[in-house]
Amino acid sequence: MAPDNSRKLASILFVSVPAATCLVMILASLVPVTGRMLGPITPPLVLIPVFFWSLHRPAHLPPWAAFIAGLIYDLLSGTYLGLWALIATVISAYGLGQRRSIVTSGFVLGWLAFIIAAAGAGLLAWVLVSLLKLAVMPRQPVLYSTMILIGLYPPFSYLFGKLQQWGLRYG
Amino acid sequence: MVEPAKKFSMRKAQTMTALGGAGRSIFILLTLALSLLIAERTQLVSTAPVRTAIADAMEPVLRTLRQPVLAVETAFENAGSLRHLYEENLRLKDENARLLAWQAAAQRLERENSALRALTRFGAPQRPTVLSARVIAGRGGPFLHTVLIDAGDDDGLALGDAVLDSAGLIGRVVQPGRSTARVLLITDLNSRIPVLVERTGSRAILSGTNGPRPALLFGEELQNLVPGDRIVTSGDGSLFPADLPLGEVEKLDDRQIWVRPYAELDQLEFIRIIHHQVPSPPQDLLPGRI
Repeated sequence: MAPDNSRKLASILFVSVPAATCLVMILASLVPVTGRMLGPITPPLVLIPVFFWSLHRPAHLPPWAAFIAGLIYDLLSGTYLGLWALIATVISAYGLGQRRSIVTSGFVLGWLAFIIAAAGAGLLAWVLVSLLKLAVMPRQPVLYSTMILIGLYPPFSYLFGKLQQWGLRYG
Repeated sequence: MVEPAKKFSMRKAQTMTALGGAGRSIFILLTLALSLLIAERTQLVSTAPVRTAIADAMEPVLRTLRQPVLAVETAFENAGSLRHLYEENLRLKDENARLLAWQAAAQRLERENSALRALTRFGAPQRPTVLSARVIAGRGGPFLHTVLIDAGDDDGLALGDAVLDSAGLIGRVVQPGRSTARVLLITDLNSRIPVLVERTGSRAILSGTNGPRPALLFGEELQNLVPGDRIVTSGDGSLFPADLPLGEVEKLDDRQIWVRPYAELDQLEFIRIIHHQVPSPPQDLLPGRI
């Protein structure tokens, strides 16, 4: 009995890992970090797990889950409702479309694909916010935020990869 | 050999197959997201109650998450300050001596002020209520110039209250919840603050630019300003109490006058909220009584 229960628990945990990582990354991007080295802007870290899991486990983070993650980030960060929900959905769709060619091609190709995704997300966000505010937004914060996001992808993708392996072994 | 055009359409077909049935749901989600954006922008729906409810619910979590980050930052800061202990000590001694001189001057002016008020029977202005709070969620994303603080209606805070750090004004409360509130920073594009240039007495509007420096607009005789001129709130329109420190003129060019805020907007931790009552006009100036 007990091994069945623990197996059941492990598989529940396995299924919920993608959503949990999205929630953790949303909270991590909101916690104020005042160290001078890191700069004033925390990028939308939620895009990292959305992209990663749409490549590796799309069944457990489908586009609607990416949409909800983006929506939660919109609500908590105070930005226009629907902005990051739209961008997270686009990233999820991009990951789904590219997964056949990337998933078995190694880390570097995955990172390159994320660079394209992050740059596209930054551009889309800049265009949308400029249209919504009817004013051209400064480009530097977006560039800075995108570069940080790209730089943070490798360590987090490594961590998520380890979670994936653990889940496959015990889930 | 497969022709390039055929190769492209094969790859496109593979992508579409990979997207599969998710394609329709993605389209619906994108339409929904765009609808939400348009609805909020045109103010067809107000999301403020939902936002404040979620912020209130997440407040304990955000406050708890800040603790380990704060511990690491403090450790780094302490390690850094150990290196410069001697210079820091000299700097603090010098600052202490200057502050003692200012303290003596302030006490003399206070006595003079009290004597003059008594002489003219001048009514003392109502002292505003001051609350302390902490920033629990920083600027999320590159477009936002708001922060979330852990004080709300239950603590006596109200919409429009001025928020300051130890050095100067940082913004005003725009979305008060029960136990949290969102503060619009002075650098946000939507921020407009009536200000006064202390040296010249010129009045102007400090406008956020969504960049690191707000700008002075719509002012009189702004061409006479020089870098270093101190900017304070003017109290016009009863939006903010008067004489709150804001910043100083940093740079003037043909198009704009840039202001460097005194507040460290990237290093916000502990803040104060000034809750001030808008004074009502004297009875004999109300309409109908001449």
